[in-house]
Amino acid sequence: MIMPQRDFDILDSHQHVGGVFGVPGMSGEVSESQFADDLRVRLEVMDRYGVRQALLMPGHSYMKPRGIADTRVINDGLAAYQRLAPGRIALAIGVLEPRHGLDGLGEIDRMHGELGLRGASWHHRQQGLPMDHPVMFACLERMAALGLVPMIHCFSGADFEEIWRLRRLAEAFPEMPVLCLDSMTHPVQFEAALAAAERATNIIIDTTSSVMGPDGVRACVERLGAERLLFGTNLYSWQQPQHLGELEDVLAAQVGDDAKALILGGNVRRIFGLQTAA
Amino acid sequence: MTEPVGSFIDLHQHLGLGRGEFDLIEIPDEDAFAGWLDHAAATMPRLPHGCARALLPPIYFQSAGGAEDVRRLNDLMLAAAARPELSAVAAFGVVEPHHGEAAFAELDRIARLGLDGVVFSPRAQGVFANTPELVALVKHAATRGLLTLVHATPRSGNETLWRIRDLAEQCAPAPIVALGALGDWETVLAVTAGESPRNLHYDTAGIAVAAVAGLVKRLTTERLLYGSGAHDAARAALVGPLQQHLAEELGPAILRDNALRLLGARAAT
Repeated sequence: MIMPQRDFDILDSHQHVGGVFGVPGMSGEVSESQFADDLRVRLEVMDRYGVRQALLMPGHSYMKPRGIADTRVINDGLAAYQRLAPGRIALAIGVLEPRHGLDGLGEIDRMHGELGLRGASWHHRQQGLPMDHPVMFACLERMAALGLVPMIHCFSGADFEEIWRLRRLAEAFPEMPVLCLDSMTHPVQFEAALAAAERATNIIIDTTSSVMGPDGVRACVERLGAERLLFGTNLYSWQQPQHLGELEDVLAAQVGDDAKALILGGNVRRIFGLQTAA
Repeated sequence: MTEPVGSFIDLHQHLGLGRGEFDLIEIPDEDAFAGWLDHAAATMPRLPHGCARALLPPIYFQSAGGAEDVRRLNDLMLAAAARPELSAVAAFGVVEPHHGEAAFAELDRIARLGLDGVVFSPRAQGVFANTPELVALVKHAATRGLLTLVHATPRSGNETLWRIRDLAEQCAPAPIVALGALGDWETVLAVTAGESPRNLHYDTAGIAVAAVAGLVKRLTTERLLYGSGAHDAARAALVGPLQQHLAEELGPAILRDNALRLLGARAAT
């Protein structure tokens, strides 16, 4: 279904290049030689739904026999992918592996200084350590000093991705926006995210993979304010969805157009200091 | 393998106990193995005379070096198995599903070098227990005579029981031992209520004494193996009292004979 988009300047704040092992329909890694084709498919989807820009992360499940050397390749690839269409891929957020310990701090410096990435992302159920492991606190401390933004998946029922862990991180770095991804994947997870975000006002929630419908959007706006919700779709490589449920939810939500404009792009641009369209 | 004469074999004790469950163990360089193992031996639970343990690798370890770190860890496990004070009747290694072909090569290597099996920890390895990559590795391990142990932590999404069962079904008839599944009331109910593949065995880590009779009835004594599940210092402190408490309920098959049978199948290959 193709949606009439009115005047919203939409930025999808949650897309991935790559896939997920063991999940049907998510085929796995994308080599650099395939970036152009992947981008073409991605932009076709975005154009179909009136999404002007996107924030891109790697998939968090990739082959890494060389350890951190492979993580560097992934982040290098992400930066190269963004360079193919910087006007459309407005933001690129790298990946860090908690199992690499404090060796990851050097990669944070490199992501910032050399690659121009704007943050780091994690999906702890795919990465093998709890979200509130001491390594994570060390990473966020370094990122805070560099002005990078953490994006952390909190998928319902996923190992190590409980909201109470995220809250520990957010409360340790109250001046830093902490993006809480995938929390709308279950009513209980969503309620936990809202409750945590009411206490830790630096937690920002996204719509990715939401099962909460338009009413979830309304509830978030009522309890947290429109400034603390981001539109995101979880679009992975090669996917050509028949509809974007998250976009439908925001457009159908019983909130004003100003709120929708923030959710659909204003908030993420503000957080990352991007200019809006003229 | 020299058959131990004591009353039990603990199939589930991890080498290198951290203070906390998620401590990231740093694998030492080879020239530091001896000192590291001296410290590890001092912190492992003491066993009664003649009893033995299977040595399992640490679950959470630093892996910035990728397959090199895994090779060094498996070499450490071999060195540990040779230490008489560790009373090891078997030693297990690890491979990472995210290492692709390097993982298969490492299975071949550890089989050649004499490790008895391989341990998978889907939660720590960031994969679902029945992901195709892990299934392929378990099948390959079986062709090399390696016994597969897989962590089945209750309430874990990656290690949930249905995925463990699916893994076992896909890898049949290779025996697989699920570690830690029975330490949770809900999971015990699920095991006793449903059918488990016949090649799927369970260790007793965390088990409640009251659950034993029902599990034995459902699974038969052949598919239960004694394992204490000591993977951090706090749990290791509980091992001694638990062992005494359970011994009468479990009986010799579960306490030692089943482990000897599964490990003996490896020794015969």
